[in-house]
Amino acid sequence: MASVYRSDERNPGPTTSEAVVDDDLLRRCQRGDATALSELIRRHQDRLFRVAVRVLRDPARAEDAVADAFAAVWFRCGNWRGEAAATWLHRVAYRVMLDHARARRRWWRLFTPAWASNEAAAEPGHDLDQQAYQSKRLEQAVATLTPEDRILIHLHYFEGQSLADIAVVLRVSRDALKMRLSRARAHLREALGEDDELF
Amino acid sequence: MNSFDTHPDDETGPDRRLADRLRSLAMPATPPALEVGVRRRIRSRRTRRTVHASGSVLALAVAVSVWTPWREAPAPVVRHTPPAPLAPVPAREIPADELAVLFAPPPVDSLAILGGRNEQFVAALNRLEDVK
Repeated sequence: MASVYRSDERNPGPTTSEAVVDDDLLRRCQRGDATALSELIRRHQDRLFRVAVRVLRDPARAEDAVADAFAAVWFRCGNWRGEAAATWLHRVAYRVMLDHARARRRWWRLFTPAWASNEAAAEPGHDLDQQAYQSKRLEQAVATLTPEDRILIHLHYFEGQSLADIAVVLRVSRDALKMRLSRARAHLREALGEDDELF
Repeated sequence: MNSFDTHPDDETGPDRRLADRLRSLAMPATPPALEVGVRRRIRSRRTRRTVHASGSVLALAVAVSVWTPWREAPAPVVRHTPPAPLAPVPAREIPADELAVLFAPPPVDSLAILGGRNEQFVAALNRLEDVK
């Protein structure tokens, strides 16, 4: 079932009380409390699933990746050393998603001929209005980005996270993150073409 | 492009348009059975770990029991073959004249010889006394 994610549902980031709850839940996970894991899943699954869909572009594979990510959180929570729990959890999850994306790329190249991996480009037709056409083109342009850049674009533009927060989660320097974002935007501009009014 | 600590929603221009258009893209809802999948993965990974650990311990035990480094090198096995039974030697018939010689009393009485020698020694000693 597809639903449109409205901007007013955007998660602006954990507040202090939410961060305290996440810390407590992760601490309980370290002690083997399975109900704490259930609560963590409930709190973070929507956001992580959206990122996974953006990175993997397939809801079924995204579900697999997010389930793997939470399993990894459960087994690795002993390594958590007091930083913000949500930051640590999301970092672990993004790493699992990128592993899924890389595995997919390897197998995809092996067993798929080059012509089959190119999706049909969106063409304005009678059944597509202008907005749907632009959305489709943007979706295709985002798909041409690397999985790492897709995460970055999604977190910043879709989830509305500041670059400072993203830099902490992805453990990259501010300069490196700015450069990556600039490169990703340039790639999107190129993929969309000069006629698109987005840039 | 927006500054480092601001959200794209606070911006105008391309950043804002990009954010708005990205959010207009269809996004599937989170599957309801996600937690079930997580639990299944945790269970299967635990089972896999247990099987791997048991297999490793079993393989180690088998290897050590075969190798047995605490024992000395076994002595070479020597097979003792039982000696072949001696063939019976047929008894030789001894002639009667030989038997008579073999079992006859000695020809000289040894005590008589010793007695004769003693008497000669005594006689010799007596002669030496007389010479003195």
